[in-house]
Amino acid sequence: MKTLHPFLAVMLLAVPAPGEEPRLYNPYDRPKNGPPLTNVFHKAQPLWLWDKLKQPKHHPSARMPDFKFSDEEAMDALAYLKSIADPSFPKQEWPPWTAKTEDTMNDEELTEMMNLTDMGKAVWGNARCTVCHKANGPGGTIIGGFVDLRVGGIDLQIAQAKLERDWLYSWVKEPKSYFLDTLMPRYRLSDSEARALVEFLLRDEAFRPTTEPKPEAPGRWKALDDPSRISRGKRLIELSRCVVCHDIKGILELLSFPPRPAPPSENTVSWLFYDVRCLSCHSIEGRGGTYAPDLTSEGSRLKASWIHDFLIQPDLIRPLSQQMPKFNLSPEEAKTVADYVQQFRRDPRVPTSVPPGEAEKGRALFQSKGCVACHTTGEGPGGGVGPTLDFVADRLEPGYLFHRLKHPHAVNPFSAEPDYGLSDEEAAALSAYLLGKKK
Amino acid sequence: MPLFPLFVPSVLFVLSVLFPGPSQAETLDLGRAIYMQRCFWCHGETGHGDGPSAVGMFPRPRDFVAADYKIRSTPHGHLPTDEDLLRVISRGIPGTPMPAWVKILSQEEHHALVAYLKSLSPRFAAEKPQPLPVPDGPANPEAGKEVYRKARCFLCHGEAGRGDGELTATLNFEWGIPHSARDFTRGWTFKGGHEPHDIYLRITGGLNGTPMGPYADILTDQERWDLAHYVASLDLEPSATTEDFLVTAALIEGNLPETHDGPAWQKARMLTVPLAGQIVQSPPLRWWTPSAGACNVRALHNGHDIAFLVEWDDPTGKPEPLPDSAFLQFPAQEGSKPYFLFGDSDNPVKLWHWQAGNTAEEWTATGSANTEVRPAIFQVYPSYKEGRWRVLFRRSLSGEPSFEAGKFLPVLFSVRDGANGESGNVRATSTWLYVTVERPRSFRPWLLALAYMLGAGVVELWVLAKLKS
Ligand code: HEC
Ligand code: HEC
Repeated sequence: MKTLHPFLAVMLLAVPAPGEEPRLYNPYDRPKNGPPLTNVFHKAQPLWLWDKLKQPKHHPSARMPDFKFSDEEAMDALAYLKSIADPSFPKQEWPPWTAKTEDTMNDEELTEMMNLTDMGKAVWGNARCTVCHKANGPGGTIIGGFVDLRVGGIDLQIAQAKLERDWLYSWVKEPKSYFLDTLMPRYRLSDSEARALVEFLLRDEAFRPTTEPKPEAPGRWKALDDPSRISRGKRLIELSRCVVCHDIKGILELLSFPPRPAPPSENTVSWLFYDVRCLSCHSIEGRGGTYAPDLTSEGSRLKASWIHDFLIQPDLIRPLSQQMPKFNLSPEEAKTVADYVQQFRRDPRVPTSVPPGEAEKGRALFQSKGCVACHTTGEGPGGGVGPTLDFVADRLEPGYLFHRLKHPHAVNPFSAEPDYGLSDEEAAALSAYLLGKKK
Repeated sequence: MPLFPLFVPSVLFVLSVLFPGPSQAETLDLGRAIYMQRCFWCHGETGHGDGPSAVGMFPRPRDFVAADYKIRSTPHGHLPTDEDLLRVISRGIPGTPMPAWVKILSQEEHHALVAYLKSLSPRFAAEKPQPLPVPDGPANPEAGKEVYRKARCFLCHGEAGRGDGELTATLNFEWGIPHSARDFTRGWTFKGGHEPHDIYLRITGGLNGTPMGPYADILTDQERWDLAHYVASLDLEPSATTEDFLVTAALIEGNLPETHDGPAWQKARMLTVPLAGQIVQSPPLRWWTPSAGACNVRALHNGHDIAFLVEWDDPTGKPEPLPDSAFLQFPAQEGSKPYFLFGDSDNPVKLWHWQAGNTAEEWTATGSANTEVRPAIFQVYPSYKEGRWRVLFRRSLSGEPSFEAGKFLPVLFSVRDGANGESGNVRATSTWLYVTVERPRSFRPWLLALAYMLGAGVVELWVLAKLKS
């Protein structure tokens, strides 16, 4: 597989012949990086849009050029965008209290709201939204580190100054229905989980702008419906060639793209990668993101059973901010992915079996070589520098364990692990010892 | 000979009956045979632009099946005419791997290729491309300048037309999408020709499949005609011919300027020095596509110090992925003229080397592989604005090498555009030129003249006194 330039790449999602390696969707191979603007008025509030047009760099993670629009021009462009918004954009029924502020709710409504936002907070946590998105912490600090530009996470501090409730619901539930090429995974949230998350995002102070917005002149946005403004706005959007990065209804398309293939059929590994957008963060053979481990040869390293369990319940193997989100995969789906990794993601240098060795000799070597200084094995004291090996046999493929003991730096050139120059016999003995470390 | 006009067509008619031209099938066969020999490498066996050599090319070789052609005399989204295709095959596309075939293929072969390319897309059978009319009335480039602003061309092509607009920079650097808007100061890089007529057609119909869209419905015919003349007027007029090899440091009084726009620079003659890619030595690679095609050089001295001002266009002043850099090269030994690429083992060179981020170093080299770096004994004052680097190098006249009036010292200029992947020997370079400094005006002749006048006066007085007595 070659690395394709995102712009040139065709999304190769054709169904592979049996036994052939499936083509995996790479969300970076997309024709346009900007979200579609046709329905942007259903997504965001006019003031926020106006600000975005006037000061694109206001927003630290934004990567839109500054078009230097005058106030009038920004209004014209907005007028056109408003005029093309689809009136049949999906709307939800919301309980009447959702339109109220907290101080005008009665006790019952307040309790309902609090319960819902609590549940939303749990969804937010499980989905690890903070890996990509920024928010104000309870004390005004930022949870979850930085917004990584390439992930394109939207700075959620402005959620409440920006987003419309109906849009937010459809976005967290089915991101692709709004922006087909988004990097955001689909979490398979239930209706109530999605509602809870929406309430949390629209109520919690973590998502409130830190500065009070200036009060708006009443009727300011009425001017957007002026037909002459709309036609001026269309011309301006044409001239600014916004269609190079955004889909906009009614504006001449300039770039040519290969026709979009149909999405892969459901319940295949191709479909799961398409749906969950694994390659937004992971990479395989140079394609994909750089935020999570490379999966190119994980099949030689990890046991299929461990991959399966990890996908269902991503464990605490990393600090919170770097944990893999829970995507609510079914056991069958987890198996499909684990099987794919086992079958295709292999490193031919890693042996598939271990020469026989004596576990007792391995135990002695573990002490005498000093491994114990960095690793624990669940037998007596050990160091905390290297990963714990208490249940290493559940996680790692035996062949990989042997290979890694023999060539620690071939596997990871930056590993702190010393190369002891172990003989085959010694490595086999250590492997035999460690392969007894199971739950 | 009034019968001649009738005579020629009738002879042609008789000839064409006697020797009929190739049939359509024969033409296609010929076209296909040439295609498979010459074009397939890039454009691919089936014409999808995916030949074995196309890997990593941007822009991609044209996909003849999709038939989204850039260089057309027709409206946006339309097919090109036969003449358009003949012309582009014959001239090639500057700045891209697409070669010019005019000297390699005959006219007949050109026509056969056009027929074959057209057969690759069903669109040609269904559509009849019609050329757009081009105005031939007077044009006003000044009015065109205003259209340039109004139509927001600067977004991509930059305020000064150097291809450094903000939208281009965002596409290139934020998103890694290498659609670069044309630098209008480099007329020779235009893909479809640099005459106002060509530019008019590009503006009117756009370049299919690129961010360069059509302006047919946005601007009037006259506006586009004015605009085409304005764009054509931005081409760098070389101020000197390429036969001019001498940089003369003009003499000024007082301090040498430390800025790039002081009035003192008006005293220095500007020399436009052509630069070419370094294509002699590889590894790392022969460099056919340098970003700079020329640099402007001026020099001043004040009897103590000498200053060189080197200016060149670079659409990207950003430090990523590699820093931009430039150097002046001199022979390290008096009276020698070393090999122009970093000298040779017998004839070392000295380099005044500057790298963006303001590092200045003096390099000594005896060939590309043998360089030694020392702290600079010269100063640099760089600036980057509107797509142009201006770097001022200043040093004392004495030193190694020393600059003296009447002496012609070899000098060479070289620049690298990091954003274009240039570093080390991957660079644009001039050949050896010469530098000399203007002779200081000496006061001796004046003193002599004064002494002579005084002497003559004294003699005269003496004679007068003698006469009186
Ligand atoms: C070394 C590679 C290479 C070879 C060989 C080559 N081309 Fe091209 N050709 C290109 C590239 C690259 C482009 C696209 C340039 C661009 O888009 O600016 C191109 C574009 C074209 C175009 C499109 C012009 C337009 O208006 O869009 C035509 C026509 C064309 N080539 C014809 C030919 C023919 C005919 C041959 C063989 C005689 C040939 N090319 C051989 C690389 C090549
Ligand atoms: C959205 C960005 C954008 C805008 C706005 C834009 N251009 Fe371009 N222009 C380009 C790009 C990109 C190319 C190069 C396309 C290629 O080489 O494939 C180009 C190429 C050109 C060319 C070169 C044609 C050739 O033969 O090489 C001309 C002339 C030109 N533009 C004129 C204009 C004028 C005049 C305007 C304003 C009315 C304008 N452009 C506005 C992006 C833009």
